[in-house]
Amino acid sequence: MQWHSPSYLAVICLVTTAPLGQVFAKQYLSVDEVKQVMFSGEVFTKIDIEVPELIKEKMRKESGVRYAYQQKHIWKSSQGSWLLIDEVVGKHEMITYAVGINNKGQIHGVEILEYNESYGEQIREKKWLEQFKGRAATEPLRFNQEIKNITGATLSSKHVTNGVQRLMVLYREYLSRI
Amino acid sequence: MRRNRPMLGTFVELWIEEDLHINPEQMAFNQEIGNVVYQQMEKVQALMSSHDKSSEIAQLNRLSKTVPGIVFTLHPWTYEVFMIAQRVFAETGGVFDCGVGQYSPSYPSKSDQLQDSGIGSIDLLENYQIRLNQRLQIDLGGIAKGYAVDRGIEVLKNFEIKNALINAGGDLRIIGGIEQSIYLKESLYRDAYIYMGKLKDGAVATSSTRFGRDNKKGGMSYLINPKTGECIEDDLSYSIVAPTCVVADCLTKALAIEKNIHAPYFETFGAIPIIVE
Repeated sequence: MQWHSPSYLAVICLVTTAPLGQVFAKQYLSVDEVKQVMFSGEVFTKIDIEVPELIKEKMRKESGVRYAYQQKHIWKSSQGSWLLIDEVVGKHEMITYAVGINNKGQIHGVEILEYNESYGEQIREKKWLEQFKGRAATEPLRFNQEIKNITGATLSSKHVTNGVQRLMVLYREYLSRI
Repeated sequence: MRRNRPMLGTFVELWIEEDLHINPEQMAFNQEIGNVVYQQMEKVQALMSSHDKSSEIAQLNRLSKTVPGIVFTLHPWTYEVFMIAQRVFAETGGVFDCGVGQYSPSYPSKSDQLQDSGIGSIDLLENYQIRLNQRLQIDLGGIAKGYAVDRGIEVLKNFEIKNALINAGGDLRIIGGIEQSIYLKESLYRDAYIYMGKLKDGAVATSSTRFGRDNKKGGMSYLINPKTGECIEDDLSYSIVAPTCVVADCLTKALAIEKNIHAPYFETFGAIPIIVE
């Protein structure tokens, strides 16, 4: 283990903040990659269907996810596996995730494809920021490279858990019957 | 390669450094390694979650209420976590104790609060057996996440991955020869990052009462002093840099409770404590 830290760390000395309204996109897997990761070797066909409003209403009620279901990607493999891609919105993040369902109707896996954090004006409290005025910023955060090296605030994955639940309602009530 | 799965109540990011000229077979192989990493971490969650009634910890808590002196065989990983927890409990003089679940808000009745029910009361026997000497309410929430990260790192090492990182919602470990800048996200609701330092081949974990309260919207902090049963209520964040994530995870709790960066146990574990105001 090797650790180098600024000697002045006992007091906060550097704060990097994001410009207003900026979105940080963290990309993990593409749609093609997630098919390979979850169901290696299976060939998927995109299913173009219109999910009835009644089913959407059930999905909303059972999962508690208010953000409307966009019905972006529904894929089915020749072996009977399903890959559903959906988005949920957290406090101020948009998360695109994939749920794999095996041919027995069980969850095979959940993967995050994209995680976008966007910041609005409302979270920038002037008073809070003022305490850092005049402190040197010598180590700016390079978000693209170092987004993975962040300790601290533990983000809850509850939004995604609820999202998975709504896709399972879609599967149970609709996809498994067509 | 970057992956992210919702797990352990948070998001677990995995990064494996890949050569610019990597071929598709090697890329697919790395994804497969990623799957194994996540499988192992999920197994830690299944064994050690106290919220999941079928977990080993939930069973053990129930069993401890039946016959005093009952002997219970643990999965080797849970046994290992108990060994580490007992060692940190002993070295910190009981400041770190994962037997304080009885103080949590889900046990509102004072009459149900147990005395002396710490991790120290368990006898660790041979062959992964333990003896439960009294009623227990073990909660491995303050150690299991760090242990899960270390299990994931073990997989990467076994596959001879050179440079990689696992970050389980802020409890992270890096392997390899690259020095990486570590930032602290000060709050869930503010887009501010504090530069902490550069880490090579080590782990960082952070506990903050601030985040606990954020999560519960003004509710109780999740950090509890095992000696008094009181919640830690302040506005600081406590980070530990350590050789392994499990040690970093445990020691953040001791640091938050004692707030003593000179405590001898940090050196014992090769750890560096950092308090950020």
